Amino acid sequence: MEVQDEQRLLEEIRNGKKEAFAELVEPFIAKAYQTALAILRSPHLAEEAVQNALIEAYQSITAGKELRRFSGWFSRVIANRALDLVRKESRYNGLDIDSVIVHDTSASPIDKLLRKEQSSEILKAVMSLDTQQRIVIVLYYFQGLKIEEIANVLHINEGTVKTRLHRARMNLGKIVSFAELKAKVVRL
Amino acid sequence: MNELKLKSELQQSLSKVAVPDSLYRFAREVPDICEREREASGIQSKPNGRRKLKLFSILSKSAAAVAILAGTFSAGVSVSPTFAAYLKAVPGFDIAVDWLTQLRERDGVQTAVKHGYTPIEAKTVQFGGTTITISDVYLTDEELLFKAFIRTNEYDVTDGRSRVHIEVDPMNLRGGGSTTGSSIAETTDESKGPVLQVSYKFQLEENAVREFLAKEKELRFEVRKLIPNIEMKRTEIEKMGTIAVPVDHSKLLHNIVIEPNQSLPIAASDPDWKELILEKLTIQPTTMNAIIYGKKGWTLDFPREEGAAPYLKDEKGKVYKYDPSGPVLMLEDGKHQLPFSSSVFFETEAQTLQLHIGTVLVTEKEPSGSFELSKKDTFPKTVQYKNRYIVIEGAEFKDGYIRLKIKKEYPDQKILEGISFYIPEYRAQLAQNKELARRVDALREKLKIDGWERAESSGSDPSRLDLYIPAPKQDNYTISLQRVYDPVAVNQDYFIELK
Repeated sequence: MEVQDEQRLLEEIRNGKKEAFAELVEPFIAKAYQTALAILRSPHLAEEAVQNALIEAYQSITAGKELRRFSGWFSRVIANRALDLVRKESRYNGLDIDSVIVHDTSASPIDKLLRKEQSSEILKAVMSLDTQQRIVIVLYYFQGLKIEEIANVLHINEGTVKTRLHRARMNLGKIVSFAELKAKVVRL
Repeated sequence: MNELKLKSELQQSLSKVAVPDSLYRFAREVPDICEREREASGIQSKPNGRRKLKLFSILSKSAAAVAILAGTFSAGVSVSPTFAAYLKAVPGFDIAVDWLTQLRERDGVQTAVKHGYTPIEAKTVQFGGTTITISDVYLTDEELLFKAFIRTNEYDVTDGRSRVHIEVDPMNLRGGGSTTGSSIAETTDESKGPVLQVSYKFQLEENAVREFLAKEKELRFEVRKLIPNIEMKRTEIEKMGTIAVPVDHSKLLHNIVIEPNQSLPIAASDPDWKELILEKLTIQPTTMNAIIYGKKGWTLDFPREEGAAPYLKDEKGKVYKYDPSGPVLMLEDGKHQLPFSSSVFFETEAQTLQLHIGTVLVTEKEPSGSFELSKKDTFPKTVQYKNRYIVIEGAEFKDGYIRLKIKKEYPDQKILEGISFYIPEYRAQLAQNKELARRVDALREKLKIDGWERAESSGSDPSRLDLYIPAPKQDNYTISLQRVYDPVAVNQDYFIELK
């Protein structure tokens, strides 16, 4: 979406045109959900994260928040709202995100989306990473956040983001042979 | 490890994960939700303030009201006793008829029921304080559809933030699946507590149904409670019980499979795309799936927005919308399965079906063009790429990037859509060298541009588009050109022979 179109829609929303909100956010919903799903590994939580991000977006716009580029801002919002839900895992233990490793069970709902015959090797490999590494990989390579932005979202320094990215890539390298990377064929 | 490959593969595979339709509906409801919340709390909204959010019904009351007995049902079709009974039939619950009708019209169940096709009976089971009904179960040769209606005292089903969830999973059928939507059902016995409705769709593996029918007489669903365990930092899964739903093989109807391998010629002038191929159309009692492919080395994307999305239409003018919610079937390179809501299965007189293709976004995996750029060049300089002529009216060679001024093709042009301009060797360096990548990112921020490698209007010069390309310092460059998410406006209808 063009900057001018974004700004027009933001103005229309502020002027009370409700339909403009859906027009503004619809192009970003898919990527937001896919990002949240990859981080949270739970369709239910991913939906919740996106719902929260949409609510925040609307509230921020109507409160007059200045958004130079909505798409970039919304990317950070969805990352934050997904991270909120990850942090819920740690809050009661007084841990911070640095030390949280959410052990996902093999019967996690996401596995239903990732049955081996129906998903790519790389996606399965990314989903098998621990939470810390999965988050940085998804935010960096899929959501397109910069190192600095990821550092802000995670409240860690840029060096730590780089370290996690490096480790994640190393781990992915062990799991996946890129020469063999192909979408699996499902014969019909 | 090849980072570009990693990025590209991750983008491609993750972007194919289906998105619940409920989110798009939720987006449309957000302004009203916020207003209601604001009125209820009697306070003004706060920027960035987040409040506890309930799981809102994906079908608003107003939407349901508008849709009361609309469409085929209101068109004077006589209602069979089975259908009349089924309308109210979610055993165990008193679900509002209007709401249920609306829900079923979307997923094709209404059409099947209207024709008396209810091969698998609903089943209600109680586990302690939880009542679950498995309803609208449709097993085809390649898919399993069902709905779960849940009323429970285990957690507040209206609380979207609940840590606890109940899920229902088929145990004795091989396949991958997901929910396609969930909502709080509108009930007429609200005093008994809210009911959560979750729709599921499973794409079954090859031969899974044949093997199932050969040895099984019932579909078994496991009901599980998912409880995040904070101390152990893992999700505990508590099996609540099993629901066995009898399946009478003789009642199951089989899919109609048409394999036309039909060319879908593209009339629009495009240098790379003359046709798509419709490989297969599977007509199920509930929904329809079409497999379409283009060619190797390219990926296709089909938008879901009305006007650009594909759809099917029957001879009576009924439209079957593209509905990509649910699990994604990843086929071999370049092939796509397009799912459509509802089905023409029971229209035995139907001779043809019309497939409309609106817009197709095409992406090539490798660049397919290039041009030389030198500091000694004089401008304007015209570059031909495929069937387009790109007029470069000026160039600035800066530290870390090149800025090209591209002549607009028409006055209101905002972007040179679908073309990525880049220097492959430098892009590879950026992927390997994080410090370099960081500097380029910082540069982008400093330049206040939204992205590299694409020509778009900056507003500063109304007659030109600005194109910024990360570049090392040198005198001559080879700029590669690649079609990326390039929209091909097909806007054509194709007739598929059904007989």
